[in-house]
Amino acid sequence: MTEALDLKQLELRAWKSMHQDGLWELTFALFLFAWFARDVTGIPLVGIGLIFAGVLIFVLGKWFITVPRMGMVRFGPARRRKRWQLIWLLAAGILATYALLVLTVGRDTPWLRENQVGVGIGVALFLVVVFSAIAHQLDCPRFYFFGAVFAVAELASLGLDTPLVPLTGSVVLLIPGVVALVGFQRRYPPTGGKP
Amino acid sequence: MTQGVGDREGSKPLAHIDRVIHEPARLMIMALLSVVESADFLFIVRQTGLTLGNLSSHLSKLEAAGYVEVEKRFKGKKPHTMLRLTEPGRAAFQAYRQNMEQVLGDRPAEETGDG
Repeated sequence: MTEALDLKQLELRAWKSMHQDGLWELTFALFLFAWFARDVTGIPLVGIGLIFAGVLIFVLGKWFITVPRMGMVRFGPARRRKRWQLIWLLAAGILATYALLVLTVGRDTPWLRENQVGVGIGVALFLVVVFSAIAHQLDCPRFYFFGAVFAVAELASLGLDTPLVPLTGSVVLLIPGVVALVGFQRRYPPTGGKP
Repeated sequence: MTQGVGDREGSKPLAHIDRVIHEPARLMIMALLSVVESADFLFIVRQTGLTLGNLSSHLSKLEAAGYVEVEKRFKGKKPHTMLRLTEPGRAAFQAYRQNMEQVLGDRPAEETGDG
């Protein structure tokens, strides 16, 4: 308690402390692993199942690991406003992507088959934009890193047609995720139900 | 006591420094609660580094002053304490900040060095 009392920094530090549990890294690592598993098995349901598992692990992790060790907090209206803006932005992005897929892939557009590199670059750029928006709105610079890993994996998969690409991306996210989770648990041991 | 100091010309704001908030641990609690809407006991412990007993004692004083609202409830069988600044608490913290800025902000430029 010897540092200067900067209220903005205090709020930011409190906010960031709730996101240093490694759960985002582990969730996105599982998303990339879902891509790998789908490519290896050839069954889309395996990938979708793993994505849902990732979301479930994130929610349960927050509930059973982060909150019991870190406590609960409700941030101010500015944070809530930013979160809603992000939700609307992502919802619009998902709808636009879905519309694009229906209009292109759904109609078996030959242009897509002929321009796979262009489409791949477009997808990579889209991923960078989405993750950058999340990083900005959530004040979490790590999302720039996640965006870079996803974009590089997408670009690499254009040249290297192997499931090892998403698997490598998954490991790249898994390692810092596990390190952060272990560090978080050491830094904030359980309180034994008190208070 | 600040009363005597405050009587001197030019030191009026010192007389208005809220001594309930002025204690460092309570100042930290007030500052933290001022930037969030509400937080539980554990969150304040984690952010301030205070012990449970210490925090409890300081919160009693803040609650007695009417600055902090303590809401006790149960999550299953476990007690859960949520804390938030009251409106008078926010106003008092704001006034405290303004007073401190007035007290410390008018330091002459030539006095910035130690010698």
